[in-house]
Parts: sequence; structure tokens; C-alpha cells
Amino acid sequence: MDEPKNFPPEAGLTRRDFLRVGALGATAWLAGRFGAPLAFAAPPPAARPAGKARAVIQIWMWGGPCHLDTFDPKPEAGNDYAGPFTNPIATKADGMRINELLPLLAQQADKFSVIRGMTHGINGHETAAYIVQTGRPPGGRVVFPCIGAVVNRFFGYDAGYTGLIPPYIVLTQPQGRFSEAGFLGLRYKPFATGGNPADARFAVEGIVLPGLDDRRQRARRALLGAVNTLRDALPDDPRIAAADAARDQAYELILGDGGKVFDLAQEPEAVRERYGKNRFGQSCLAARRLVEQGVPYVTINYQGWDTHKQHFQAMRRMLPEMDRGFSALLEDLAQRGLLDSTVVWWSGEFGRTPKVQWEAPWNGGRNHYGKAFCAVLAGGGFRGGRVVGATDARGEEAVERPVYPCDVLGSIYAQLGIDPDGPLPNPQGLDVRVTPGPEEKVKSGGRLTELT
Amino acid sequence: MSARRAPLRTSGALGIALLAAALAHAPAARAQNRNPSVSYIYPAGGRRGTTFRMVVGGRQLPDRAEPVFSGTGLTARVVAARNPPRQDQQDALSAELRELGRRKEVSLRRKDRGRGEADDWSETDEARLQDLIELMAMLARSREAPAFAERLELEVTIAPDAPPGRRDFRLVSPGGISAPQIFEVGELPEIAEPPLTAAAVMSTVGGQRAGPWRRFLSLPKSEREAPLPAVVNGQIGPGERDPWRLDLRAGQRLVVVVAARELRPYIADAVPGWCDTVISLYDPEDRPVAAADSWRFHPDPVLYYEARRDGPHTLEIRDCIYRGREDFVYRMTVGELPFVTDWRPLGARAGATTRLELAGWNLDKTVIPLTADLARGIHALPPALLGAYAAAPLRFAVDDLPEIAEPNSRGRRPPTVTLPAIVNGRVESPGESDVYAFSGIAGQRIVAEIYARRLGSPLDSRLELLDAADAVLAANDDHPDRGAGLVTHHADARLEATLPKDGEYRVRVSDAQDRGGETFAYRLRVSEPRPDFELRIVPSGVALRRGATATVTAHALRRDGFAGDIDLALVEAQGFELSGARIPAGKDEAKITIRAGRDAPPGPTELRFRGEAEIGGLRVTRPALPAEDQEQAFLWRFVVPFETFVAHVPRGPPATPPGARPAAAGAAPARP
Repeated sequence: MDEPKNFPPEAGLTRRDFLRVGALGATAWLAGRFGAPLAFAAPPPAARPAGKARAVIQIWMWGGPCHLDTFDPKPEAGNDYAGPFTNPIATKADGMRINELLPLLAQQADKFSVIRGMTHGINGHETAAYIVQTGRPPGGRVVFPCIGAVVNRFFGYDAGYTGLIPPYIVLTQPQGRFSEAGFLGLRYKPFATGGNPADARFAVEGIVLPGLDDRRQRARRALLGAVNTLRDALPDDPRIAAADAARDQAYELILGDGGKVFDLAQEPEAVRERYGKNRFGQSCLAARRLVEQGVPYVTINYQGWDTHKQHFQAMRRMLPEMDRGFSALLEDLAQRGLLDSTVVWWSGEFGRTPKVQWEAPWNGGRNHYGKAFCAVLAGGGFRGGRVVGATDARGEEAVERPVYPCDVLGSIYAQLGIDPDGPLPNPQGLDVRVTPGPEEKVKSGGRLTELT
Repeated sequence: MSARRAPLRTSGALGIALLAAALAHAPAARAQNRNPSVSYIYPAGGRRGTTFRMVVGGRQLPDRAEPVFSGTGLTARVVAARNPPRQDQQDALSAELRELGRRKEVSLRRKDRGRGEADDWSETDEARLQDLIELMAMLARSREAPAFAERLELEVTIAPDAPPGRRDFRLVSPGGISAPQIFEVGELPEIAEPPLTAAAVMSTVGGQRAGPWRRFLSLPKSEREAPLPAVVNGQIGPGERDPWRLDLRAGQRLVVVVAARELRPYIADAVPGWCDTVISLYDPEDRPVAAADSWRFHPDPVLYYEARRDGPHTLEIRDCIYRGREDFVYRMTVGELPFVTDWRPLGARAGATTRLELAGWNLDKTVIPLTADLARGIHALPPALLGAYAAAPLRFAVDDLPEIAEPNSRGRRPPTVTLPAIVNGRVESPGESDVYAFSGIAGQRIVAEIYARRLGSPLDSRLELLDAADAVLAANDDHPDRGAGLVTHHADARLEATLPKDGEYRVRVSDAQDRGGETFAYRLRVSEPRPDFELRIVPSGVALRRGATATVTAHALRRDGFAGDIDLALVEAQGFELSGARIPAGKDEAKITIRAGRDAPPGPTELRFRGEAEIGGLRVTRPALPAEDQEQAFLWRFVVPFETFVAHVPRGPPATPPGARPAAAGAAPARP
């Protein structure tokens, strides 16, 4: 056991014991938030931007969903392109037809708009995920923050956010270094819940421990207080005080009302059924609850869309699940009067090849396709029921009104009241804008004025 | 059977254009075609003068499939077929498996009690149990990896005088023709572990996938002692490390050469995009004494070890990241074998006689006189010529320009070169650069090109063109060459420039990674542009009924700015004709149509293509190599040459009645 170097030798406890305080995850995260001795001083709180929207729910279609099989069907292109999906359905919106396995979304089409001309031309998962979520092409000298981290900067603690729940939440697995805080720093990283909201007990990392009920949690806390001789030995050390405060916050999150937002059993069973009793559906429900609590940015990482093989079997399984959860979210937000203030953004890092790969080893799969794909925007003041842009007869190229990732992000920022062309404050002192300016020479098709 | 070679005849004229467009795009019917799809063959080679069993794994492999090897001396026939059970058979088989499992359990308990009770568990029962386990495992495996679902067992016979070396293997059937696999005819004794079963694959990765039958699974114990010298054949299953016992004597100079990536250069759905093996050698006390994971820039490892002890050593081969699948097939050549590590020169002038100097291990001959009676290009030197093995076929460049051998580039003044010329040099020490001077005139267009990586040299060249004042006029590090289908790092540099004025100029060669040494050899061509072309035909096989057509793509690899038309023709092809057979000026590819006439012979026929163009007022002819467009690791694509092009005419009625308008019916759609 190493002697901790920071503390006087007579303290007697090791760093390891010290760190074994309660919920490690939340504590460590909160300690970061309060600024451990090495962190920079947090900027003084600035005013929160005042736009139409106050929150974003990002449905991240991890792996890249095929545009032809979702919101840009091409049945006329034949079996080699459409596969078995030859009968797209009309929706509540004029002139918009979508995949036949999305009937519930069809009924909510007045609430969302489809962007059919998305393009960036990158076919690698990580680099495509980077450009879609940062607006910048990969390979530059700095690593840009993704939109969640940027919204965290403008709406989070630096803007006076006082909620117990972290302002940037990921349900449930994080994407890692290709979708994080970049040069903004660790302070703006998301908090990933882990666990599965469809489980009987949604075990949120560091807040809700599986197999540990509240009574035992309280007992642990009491025991800790009794043996915390370190605090008694160093009552005036500011680092101990900060860690104490962090721990108290963590327990407040675990045992107080703060953590209740993750307790989906509080919702009526009918509501849970409406969203679908699966990881994605219940994540949508959890996202609605988080936004209700004032969390400004929630990402739902919806895995499983990288269907190189068994593509159509996977679509038959996953499209109804997506239909149920996504439509329930839109309907629910609208009914609760939250849709106007909440942007819902559905997108993956790219689409999938319009021409089906029937040959071995794919045997009916689709490969990555960054040349053309689609995205969906709803709420937050965006108009619904519209189609922006178009691809050619096979979905292989954006032929009308191409839209680039920075256009989507810029439009979302504008709805939030963040000036997309304004400066992005950052601890590195870099002179950068929120979205790329003309000096960066990043391709752009222009903001989505069709929807605002 | 071997593909029938078309009789020698002057080639026919180009045919009239047919409804090629209708064939280029598959009809509205389900595009999943009936071509047999072969994912692997195992073992992927054999010794001449032997007969042995070979497994062919893939999809849509009908019993009536006929194996086809290129070249002479090989025959094969299908002796068994093994497919996963059909959906409607599944329940009955599950029930039978459960019942047998129960009876076996009873039998085992009886044995445990050890009271000598009568046992009704017979060998027949045991065989049936293992059979059922395999069938159920095949069913499960076919769902997660349909590309390996079906198996054919072949009996292969290699004649004692069959020429050694690489062959194409294909399957033809009434449904079509498969893409080729690589098969090697060797001369050493061969040993092979039993083929990988579905049950073995399903049971090696975690317990969950194996199902409740796992505890009854008994995998055959394989003899894993390899005599020396020999070729050791195996397949790497998930997480597997294949050990082979070698009885060594102290002082023996063991060479191990693996062919795994070489047998299957690119795999589309794997990362790394090939079977990437590593080998380790352990002494009789199980201490590691040698290891290898690649040879220079070849992913297949090569190991050299001087044994210090007598006794059984263990040679272990596995994938670098412990992957394994049915198509991870390897051939490991082991023994005190002659192996070439380096050779010089890397090339010669056409028609000239050179002394090819070899360096390596266990070599008998170190100098081989060689007359380069070959056309301009890069040629693979057969192992028989060298009398030794090598990590990959030795590539030798033949050109028709004056050659300069190893000029002394370390004097005060750079050596002067008269254009056009090929300079043979080497970057002898790290950080060194070689400079050559030449005189040029204003407006002269100059090409400087390195041939090194494409000839097996580890050099990662960098080229610069300098004027007399040492100002850099042009520079290049990597220049892609689509013709080098197995090269994944296009390290050879090439630059082109127009000289601004009369005077002295220099070309500087260096290693982009600042390395150097005896092995960092290169050939540097400095000349005016030499327009030329190479051709590839993709895919390397088609199936079409008599009277029907098939489409292939002809790729032109244009060199030094050649931009003219290229006309394609078949060489001595009775019964077949081409149409649309021109790659127009300025284009790099064209779709051409092959038509099987009424007199096209049934079965597989080898076809050869050539291309003709006018360059500098002369008619120039070049062969067109059959090739496959292969995908590596989900992303990159390469055009990989094979030995032969096969046109397969399935037996049966012709596609159209004689005299009628040819239709799209009967034409086979694009092959996998």
C-alpha cells in the first residue's frame, strides 16, 4: 500500500481507503465538478442562452442506420436496393413516406421533419461520428467538443445550473473519445448511466447500485461517517472539505430525490408499455423524465445498427422497437407541453450502402455509406411534417439541398439561443467559433431555415 | 478436372453489340444468384504424387458441383456433402439428441458406480451422438456465419509430375462458377490436422454458445508431430493456438515459413483484413526460444532458429489477436530448408544474362545465372529456378532501358546518368540519400520512378528532383499502383516534371523513414515519359449458357500518361466472342461482353485476353491478367490477379433457339 504523499504521515489512512467512500463514480465525477486542486478555476456563471429550446434529446443511431430502410425509402429502385421493403407508408405529413415498419411514427409525422440530403463522405465509424457530432472534419490539430459538451458549457454549471443530476447525460453506454468534450476538458464530459432502464431496477452507475437497497446504503453512509478519522484529523484542509461536499452531494443523488428521476417504476405501467419494455424504449422514457427535471442534454446511444450481415433480419427486429420508443417520446413530450422547448435529434454517423451486398460474406448486408444519409429533427421550435433535401432514385447521392453536419448542429444551437457563429469559450484559450467559420473552409449547405 | 484449354486459332473479329446493358444490371428477379460461393478450401495445397481429402466450405454448394483446378496434373471429385439440417428437421434432431444425451448420462453414471453393470451404450450410439452434435452445431453456426454453412468433401489427386506452384481452384455447377481460391502444389511431405468442425468452433468461444451438449463433445485427438521437412496444414479456430511437435537436433538450422495471408490476401469482414498469424517456438523444457510475427512487410511470419538442444520442440501458430474462423487456413513449411532473404540485382535488361546473387539461410546455390528472356514488366521467379523458398514469390523486374549497376554515389560529385536509364542502387545506411545527376533541356518532360517495394525491398522510397542549385522542383513519397494488388503500402515513389531550362539536374533517393541497410535496394528509372498500359479483367470467371452473354470489367492501368484507345480481344477462343471490347481514350475501365456461341464447348474453358493499342505510332500488345476485386477489412479494395480466366458453360440446352434474337434469359448475373 503506497503512502499517500499529500497527507501528513501521522494521518494513518491510505488514499485507497479514502477513495473507498460511498459511490465512487459519482464522487469522482462530482469532485471533478468542484475542481480538485489541479483543475482550472471555473469561470464565473454566465447567463443561460435564451432560445426557443432549453433541452436536446439526441437519439444516436450507433452504427449507422440505412436511410433507404428508414426515412428515405426507394421501392422503385428494385430488390437490389430496397430489399423486401417495397411498400413504404404514407404519413400524417403530406408527401412524406417512410418505411412500412414505422406506422406509429407515421402518425407523429406532424411533429418531426426529415432531412434526406445529409452528406459528409466519411465511411469510418469513429471519424464519421466525430464530424456528425462536432461539425468539424477529423484530423485537425485540436479535438473539438461534441454538441453535448458544448451545450453543457452553455447550459450547465457555468450558466448557473444547480440541478443535482449532471447536465449532460448519456443513456447508457458512452461513445468514448470520438464523442466527448475535446479541448473543453473533463469537466464537460457526459455522465453515462450504465445499467439498463428496462431492468426491474435501473442500476445507474454510482447512484443506484444493483442489489443494494436504500436501507443498506444509509447504513454504509453512517458507518463511513463513524470511521472517517481523516476528516477529524484534518478539519481545515480545503481538499478534504471539497471531497466531503462532493460525497454529500453524491449521497443526496443516491438517497435523496435527485436520483428518483431514474426510478422508472414511478411511471404508470401503461406509459412504460407505450414506450416499449426494452432498453431503447425505456431510455426514451428516462430521457423525457430527465428533460422534465431540467437536464439540458441527453444522449440515447442506440446500439446495433451496424448491420453488415443479416441486415434485413435485424431491421425487422429493430425498426418496430425504434418506432415504438421514438413515437412515444414525441407524443409524450407534446402532451406534456415539452416538445416546443426540447429539440429531438435522430441521426447516426452515416447511412448504409443503398445497393444491398447479396454476395458472400455479407449475404444480404449493407456497408457504411457517408455519401448520403438522413436525419430527423423535431421539437425545439423546428417545424414538423417537412422533408428537406432529396437523394437520387437509388439513395446514392444527395441531389437536392445537401446538408452537412455543421448545418444541423448550427441550426440546433440557434434554436437553443447559442450563437453558432459566436465564440466558443474554452479553457485552452483557443480562438474558435461554436460552428466552423468561413476561415475553416468546412463544407456547408447552409442552416436549416426551411424548418425555422 | 482441369479446365479445357481452347484450341489454337486466330481470334475472331469483334461481335455485334448485344443487349449488354440488360445484363449489366441484374433483372428485377431476386438478385441473390445461384453461383456456388466458396469461402475456403482445406487443406489449401498438397504434395504431388498423392491423393487426399479436401474440404470446400461455403454456400450454395450443390452435390453436383465439379471442382476445377488451373494448370495440369490435378483431378478431383466430390465424395460427400455436409449441410446444416433444414428448419423442419430441427425438432426431430433435437429430440433425438436429448434422448441420446440422457442415455449417455445414464451410461456414465453407471461407469462411475463401477459395479460392472451391463452397459447398453454402444459405439454406434457414440458415433450418432457426435454426429448429431455436429449437425446442431452446424445449424447454429450457419446462422451466425452463413458464409461457412455448407461443406463438400473432395478427393484430390495430384499427378507425380504435376508442376509445383500455385493453382486456381474453382467450383462450377449448373448454377454458375465460384470465385477462385489459391491452391499450392508442393514437393515436400504434407501433414494436416483434421478439418475444423462446427462443434469445435461453437465450443471454443465461451461456454454459452456451446449449448448443453458441450459436455458430450469429443473432439478427435490429432497427431501433431511434424516430420522434417514437411508442410504443416491447419485451420485456426476461435482462440486456438495450434501446437506442432518438431524433433530437432542441436545445430539444426530450422526455417519456418508460414503461408496464411498469402493463401487469402484479403478478407472483407475481418480486422486485420486477413489471417494475421504469429508463431512461437518452445524448447523441450517449454521455454520460448524464438518467435516471429511477420517478415519485413509481409504479414506472414518467417522464423529462423539454430537449435541448441536435441529433443522435441513445440512450434505454435495462432492469430495475432486470437481470432479464428473456418477460413483461417495456413500452410507452414518447416525444415532445414534453403530460404532466400535477399537477392540482387532486383532486375535486368530484357535479353541480358545476369548473375542473380542470393543471400539467406541453408542455401546451396548463392549465384544463379539468369537470362531475362522476358517481356518488360515484373515477373515472379519460380522457386524451382532458385532452388530455395522465399517469403513470397521473388519479383524480378525486366526492362528495356540501359542499366547502371550500383554506381558509387558517395563520391564528391554525384554520378552522371545518361537518359534514359535504370539505376540499380541501395540506401546503404540509415539517413543516407543517393543522388544522381543528368543533363536536361528546357521543356523536357522527365519521369523518375522507383521500383522497390513492388520488388520486395523494404525501402520506403522518397524521390526529389533538384536543379543545379539544389532547389526542389518536384517531390514524391508514395505513389499508388493499382497493378500491385498485394501491396498495401504503396511505398514506391514516382514523380514527373517539366524541366524549366537547359542544365544539370539531380534526382535524390532516400528512405522516408530514415532507415537503410544492405537490403534497402531499389531500381530507379529516369527517362522521358514512356506511355504504356497494363490490363486486368474482373472477375476472373463467368458462367453462361450457349447463346447467352456475361459481362466483365476490363481495367486499364495507364502508365506515364498513355491516354489512347485500348482494344481487347480473346486469344484463340473457339466458341466465344467479345463485344464492346474497347477501353476508350481517357477512360480507365470498360464493361465488355463475352458471348458463348452455339459451338462453345460445355464445361469450364480457360480464356485468355489481350489488349492492343497504338503507342508512338506502333501497335503494342499486352496480356490482360484475370483478377478479382477484393475487399479488405470493410473498407479498402484491391484488384488481385489470379492464374486463369474460366468461362463455364453449364451443360444443358442453349439459352436461345438458333436464329432467334438473343435475350437476357439464361445469362448468369454478376458473380460473388
